[in-house]
Amino acid sequence: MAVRTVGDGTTTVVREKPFSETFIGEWLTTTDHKKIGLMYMVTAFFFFLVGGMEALLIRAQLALPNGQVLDPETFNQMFTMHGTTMIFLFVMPMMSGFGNYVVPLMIGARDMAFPRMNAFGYWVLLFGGVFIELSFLFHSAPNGGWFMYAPLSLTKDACGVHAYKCTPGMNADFWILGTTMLGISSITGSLNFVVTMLKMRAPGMSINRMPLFCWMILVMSFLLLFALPSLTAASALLLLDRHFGTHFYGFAYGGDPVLWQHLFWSFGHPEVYILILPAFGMVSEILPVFSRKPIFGYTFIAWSGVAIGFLSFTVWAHHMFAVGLPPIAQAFFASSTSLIALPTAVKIFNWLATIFKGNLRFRAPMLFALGFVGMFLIGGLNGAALAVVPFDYQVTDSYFVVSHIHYVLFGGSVLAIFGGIFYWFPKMTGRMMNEKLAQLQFWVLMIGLNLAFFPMHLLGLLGMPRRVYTYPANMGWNELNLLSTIGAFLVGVGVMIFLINLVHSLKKGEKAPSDPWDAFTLEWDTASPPKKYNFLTIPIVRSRRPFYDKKNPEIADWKSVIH
Amino acid sequence: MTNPGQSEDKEKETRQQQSSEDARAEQNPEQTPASSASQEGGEQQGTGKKRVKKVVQIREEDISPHSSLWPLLTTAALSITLVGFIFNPIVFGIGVVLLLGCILGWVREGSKQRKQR
Repeated sequence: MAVRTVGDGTTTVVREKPFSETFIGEWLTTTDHKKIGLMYMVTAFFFFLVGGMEALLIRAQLALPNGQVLDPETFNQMFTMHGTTMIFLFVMPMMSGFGNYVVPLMIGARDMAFPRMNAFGYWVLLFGGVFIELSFLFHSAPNGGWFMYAPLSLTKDACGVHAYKCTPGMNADFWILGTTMLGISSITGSLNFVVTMLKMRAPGMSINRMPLFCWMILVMSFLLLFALPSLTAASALLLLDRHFGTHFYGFAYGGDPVLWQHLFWSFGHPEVYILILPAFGMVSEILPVFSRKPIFGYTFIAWSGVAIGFLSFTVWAHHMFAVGLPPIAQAFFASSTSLIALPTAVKIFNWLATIFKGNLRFRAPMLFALGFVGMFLIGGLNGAALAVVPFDYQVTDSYFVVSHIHYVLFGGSVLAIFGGIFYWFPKMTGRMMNEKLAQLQFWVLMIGLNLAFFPMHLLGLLGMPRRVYTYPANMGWNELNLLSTIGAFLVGVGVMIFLINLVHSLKKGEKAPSDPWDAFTLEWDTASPPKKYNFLTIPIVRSRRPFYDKKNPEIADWKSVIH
Repeated sequence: MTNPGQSEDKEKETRQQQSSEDARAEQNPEQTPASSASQEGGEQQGTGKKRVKKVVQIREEDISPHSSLWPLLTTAALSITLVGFIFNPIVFGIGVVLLLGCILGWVREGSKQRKQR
């Protein structure tokens, strides 16, 4: 047991160091939002590497026709776990990590509203994630796709006459249990974000002065609170079907497999916005700082995020056009899907207006933010194409859809995440990242991701189905698949460059000042890294750029008409 | 929320005080909020003015997050419960008991902290 000696010259007090003050104990018992944020981010990045390796195995299998790198069952497990890992264990926790670290600092609070619940959310995520990944050790990794469609996910008994298509092992059970735990984590985290932002803002920080990243985290939290119950209910019914003899999804016994799709996608589509809205927030913070201008159209960006949140609950069945929906339902969901493009476009135009005639500084965070805008635009545009029902019929469940989701989530969320890491790394660690390596990583990633995902558009149009194990050589898909695989490995190289940069910067990086980017928001008004208590005195806010005001009192924003 | 009643001068004064405190805290990383607050009190006494200003002693523990092992223990108990629910009823039973114990410990710790405050 460690001891600490406190002396004043005459007396010496020896006390045992409590567990919570040891190095490991400090991390295991912490309720500090900054430490929890870092733990979220490190865990999420670890799972990103796991999901990335799964992706490389999938691409290795598909690089050449008649590939034999994996056996069919392992291939099924790989694409299921790749999707599950990247969505539930990488992007969601990474966004929670950023939110945890940055939101209280941005709103001038000392911690989250419920610090212990915050820690609980993180631990549940870790346990749930480890639980799902451990399924590989039991040769029972989930294998029914990240959406775990019924009846694929039912047991033989529940599946009845279609028993040969069902999943008798524990594969689906691992998925159900794991995602339930991740859902508990997300619910606790979301509640915490909502209460923190609604109740703990610094004096003067009205909701209309809150940084846009906080706005987007707030909308994301509400989406999680309203969308997750649908997944939990669906999973509970699936569990009952699998183990307790009910037949909610078993067609042979009067159940309805399409019910699973409705329940899953009424969570699954808001989920896409859950993954992308915080990325919008990050970009909305980075672009103004590196353009040396206030954000253009703050109100429109904030409220378009809210509009996206509402509309995201009205579009779920565009994932199900091919299941035989009535024409009126198809028309409704096609219209609502097209409609959601409007608030998204509002954001993109406002970002462009922000950088227009700005004094642009092309540092790493800015490059990644600009890359995000371009790549997300491609993903958004081919998403709008998928909203057209006749076109969707042609490419549904093809590689066109795989391309779309990867442009949105890799070109979108992942680029924004890297931008966010480069932007806030100095604040979190007190060190600067190596700029040259960061720029090299950006270009390698940009080339890699376009090489990996653009050919998938063409593969989809040529009729290559998604989730296919292999293909014969005479389909005209060979070169495009090889290109895609080369691109995927190039993305892997980009991630390796990032890891080298990370380790190098943590060890030997240049020391960061408290405000290396000459930024605008309150998190930069603290030491790098910030003290445990964030702010000695809670700041008073008079505009949307409180730290800019503090640095430039003569031309403070609050002296202008609109602030 | 905005503070419409607060005058501009008062606000400026508060901001100056805040920035000087923050800067001091950054320059002397070892200095705790408690020592910083008590120094302020000393300076005021030195001026000789009969201005009564209440100096609140803030300890770092008061404004820093408290550590707790209960979130981790509760998660472990919850995991055992959920795994048991699917795979083994005995494990499920053990999990429920542990979970209830952890919730109790969590609540007691919370009320203890509230009393201390």
